[in-house]
Amino acid sequence: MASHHPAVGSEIAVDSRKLGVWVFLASEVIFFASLIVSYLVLHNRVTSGPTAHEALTLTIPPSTR
Amino acid sequence: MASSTVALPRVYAERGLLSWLTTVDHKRIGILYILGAGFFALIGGLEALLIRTQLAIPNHRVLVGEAYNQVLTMHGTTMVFLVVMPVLAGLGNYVVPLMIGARDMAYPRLNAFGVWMFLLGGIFLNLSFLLGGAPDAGWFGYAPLTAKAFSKGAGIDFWILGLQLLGISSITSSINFVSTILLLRAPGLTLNRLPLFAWTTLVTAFLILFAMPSISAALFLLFLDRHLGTHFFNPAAGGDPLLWQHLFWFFGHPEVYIMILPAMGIVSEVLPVFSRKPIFGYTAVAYSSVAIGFIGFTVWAHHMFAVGLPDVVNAFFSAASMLVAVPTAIKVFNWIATIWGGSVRYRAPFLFAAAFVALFVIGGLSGLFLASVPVDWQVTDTYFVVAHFHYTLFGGSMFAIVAGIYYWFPKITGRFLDERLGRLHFALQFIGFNLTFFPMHFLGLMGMPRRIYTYAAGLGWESLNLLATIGAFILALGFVVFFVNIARSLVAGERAPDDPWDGHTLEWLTSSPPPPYNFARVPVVHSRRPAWDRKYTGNPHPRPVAEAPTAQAPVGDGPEGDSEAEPIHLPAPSLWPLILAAGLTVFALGLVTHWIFIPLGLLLFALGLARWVQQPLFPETHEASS
Repeated sequence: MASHHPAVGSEIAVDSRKLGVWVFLASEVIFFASLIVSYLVLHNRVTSGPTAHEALTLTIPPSTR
Repeated sequence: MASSTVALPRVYAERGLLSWLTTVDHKRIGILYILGAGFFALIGGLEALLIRTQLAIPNHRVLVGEAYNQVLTMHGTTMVFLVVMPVLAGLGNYVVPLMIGARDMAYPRLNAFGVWMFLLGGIFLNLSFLLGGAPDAGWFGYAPLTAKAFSKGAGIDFWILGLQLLGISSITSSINFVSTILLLRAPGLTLNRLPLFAWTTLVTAFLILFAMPSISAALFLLFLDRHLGTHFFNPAAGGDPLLWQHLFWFFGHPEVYIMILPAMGIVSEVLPVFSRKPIFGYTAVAYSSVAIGFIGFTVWAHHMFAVGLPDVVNAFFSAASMLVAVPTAIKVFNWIATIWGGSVRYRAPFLFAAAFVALFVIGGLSGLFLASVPVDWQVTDTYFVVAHFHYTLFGGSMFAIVAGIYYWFPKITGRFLDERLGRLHFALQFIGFNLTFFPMHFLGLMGMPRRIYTYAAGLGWESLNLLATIGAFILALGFVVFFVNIARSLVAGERAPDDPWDGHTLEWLTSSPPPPYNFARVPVVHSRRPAWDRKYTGNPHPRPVAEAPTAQAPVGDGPEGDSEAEPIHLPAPSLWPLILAAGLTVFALGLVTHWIFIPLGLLLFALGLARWVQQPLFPETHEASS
């Protein structure tokens, strides 16, 4: 597979297939970071309905609201 | 694998539609990018003329209300995503592998996928005009205007999915640029000798990789808001419209550097060649690009000074925005010092590149005004901002792109663009551009808001608006001359030699146009100007020498570079990248039109993916193993 170990002058000895996946993963970090930031900004900001606290707090036996 | 020692195999048909649809050659892909961007530039330019016609006189009724909003939105979206970004990706695709002495990009089929995704994504976006109305919420798509309650039609959905498709294209091409530039450089071509256009393309690829996902996530959430009843950006239900602005501008501001950095790279190639000098301060120019890239991620909220962020936040983003002026000014001084004392040849590429420096400085200065919070509060959402970003994106990026096309056209086609038409084009574009956009500074200071479709008489805006419209038509005439020049020169242009401009970088060492394998022997690099030094070093009275290395000219291809014994492996052509891209596009179409396209698109996607991974990259490998 000549293209993956090209006879060229790069000082970086990484398989091009690995580098490509690493670069892609670095990019994905920002994608999920954006989603996580959105969650952090918005969590518990509700106008009605059960809040996260109400929905996720389980009591045994179930308490009546 | 090495059974074939035929040095220069012909791996694809030279002609025919199929040879283009299946190409994985970075040069053909580059041409497809440039042609596609040229086509969309016609659409975007026509939209600009419609806008200027509507605004020529007060209370004009050529294009009103929603139609105006659609054209305005599509003008911005088209010029950013379908013209400037792809034409820069196209020039990068064509030129960068040649500049660094590579035979192709690192992932040839992924490269083909990128260009098809761009072309199909662009067509998809423009289909919205025919299928129920184009997006009309501005290229920035501010929430909650984009919510279902305020934008009922499919336009916003076309915008969301179109930008996602184009984002996939940008991400894949950026991964390719990073790997190519980091791994496929010719022997001796260290990062400190890398041509500046390759440097800026590398920095731009990283910017795309870290900026684009932010808007992808935001568009994803917006799509959920519109169709699954979530409330991420809906303030009525606890959502946060400012979240959209943060996510959008975290992408949107690096985006403007994505559009200007490769343009700066082009100028950094053109000015030294036409001044017959090395670039002044190579290291400063290269590393200031990196600095702009880093600072570019810390300035996004300067688009949001008027939304009521805390003073401390505004102060931070104001200071960071002003900081960008430092590396930018370093570049400007280096460009001027490059021309200074040079033996300048005033050919078309130089004229456009020099105009770039002047116009970009004007755009940069008005940017400094806008970086100051109190000034921004006065002129935000006025035509002052429109003037500012057109001076950077048109006076900047577009002038540099045109310079690059005049500069590399002989390499790409083997023919010169006509110089006299080029000068006429330059005069029309330079005068037209300044007539259009300089008055907008004053209109903005007089308080004319942007994004309005008409204005009342008697506000003192009439003459300047008329002037801007006249300028826009002169500008359009300049581009008509440009396209005529390209069409004429393709057929009857003066034949160009391999090294028509007495160039500095490796692309001028190969033939015009280059063969599919680029270089019969991979060149060895000993300096920052490998092509120039081969011609001139060791000559007491420097004179260009013939392409064939002579006895006294130092020969770069020493024993180390002698790769004649090795066969050249070119990747096999493949239709599957196109099928994969088509599958994603049809799937997106299904989400906004009829559901039947969804399974159809998924089927195409699966077919393309399966066949792609089954197909060996190199035909020789396949023959040897079977």
